[in-house]
Amino acid sequence: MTGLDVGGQVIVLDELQAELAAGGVAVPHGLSIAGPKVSQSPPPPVPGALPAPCPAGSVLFTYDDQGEPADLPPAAVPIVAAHSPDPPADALAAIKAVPRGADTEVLRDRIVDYLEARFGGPP
Amino acid sequence: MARIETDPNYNAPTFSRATAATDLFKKEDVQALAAAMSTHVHDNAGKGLSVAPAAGSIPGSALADNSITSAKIVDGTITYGDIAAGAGGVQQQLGQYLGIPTFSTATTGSWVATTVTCSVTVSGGLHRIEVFTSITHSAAAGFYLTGIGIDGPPTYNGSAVRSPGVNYEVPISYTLYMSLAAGAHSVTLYVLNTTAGTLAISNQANSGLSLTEQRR
Repeated sequence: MTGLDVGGQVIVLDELQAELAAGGVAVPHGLSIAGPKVSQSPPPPVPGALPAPCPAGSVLFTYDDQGEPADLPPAAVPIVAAHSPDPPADALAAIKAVPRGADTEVLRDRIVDYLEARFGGPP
Repeated sequence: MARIETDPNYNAPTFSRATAATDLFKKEDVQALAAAMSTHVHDNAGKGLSVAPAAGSIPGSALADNSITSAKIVDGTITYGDIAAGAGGVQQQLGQYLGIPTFSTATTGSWVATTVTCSVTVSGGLHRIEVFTSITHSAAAGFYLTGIGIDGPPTYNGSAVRSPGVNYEVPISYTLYMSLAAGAHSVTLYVLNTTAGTLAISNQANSGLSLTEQRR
């Protein structure tokens, strides 16, 4: 297993997994990214922002039926290269966008969206 | 007449001698005595009585190097003070990972190895394994397990976490004691993600994994 070089690329793995499935590339055992130790931490993540780019030397791979790391099929390469994740929806901004005097039901729905995005619903 | 013909402490050779002032003196007594003394070794077995050395009378130079082994030491008598600080003979760290790792996965439902790993060669017996890391999950209330795998996925869970929020860093730290067979092994932090989403080892802090051989 050599893995697919994704150094410098911003990847949201679960989104990429859905994009591969939509493109007809089956990865039934999921995706992982592994890379070297980094000498310095990137800036602290901002809630709702995209993850930092993968450090140089990072590789993307899947797993075989025995759970061992395995290379992605060739058809995955262009899909991975085109992967450009959108920033997650900013639920807090959606609350702020509700105009003063608006229907309280609208405000309630936005608050629920925000809380679920940050803390999740009941397990 | 009280001569003795055989000395009680010499038998190979022995010698005779007079034991009273009126005993007959024979010149052969001197010859036999000289022959016995020529080979005396204080062996307490026919060549003279053993010699009990006075306390502190045996110099270190009289002992061959490496001649004192455990057979000559009473079990359970070596104490803490007998072992030099830092000697490394009681507990020895054999392998360690320490750094800010790069690892994330969207695989769910099976154990996957992370990049927090180290290789060790052990002599067998009990070992202490310490691990610390910080993990995030992209799903609110995402649930995941961690475990330490020896040469493969772990056989039990070391921690279970339900993420308190989207991509909240959750610190995880625990210590295990495990018996390992002598030989080379890989020791790896595994994760098992059970909630759809991306699980990542945080790059905001170091992760560590250490294996120490416990010895007496």
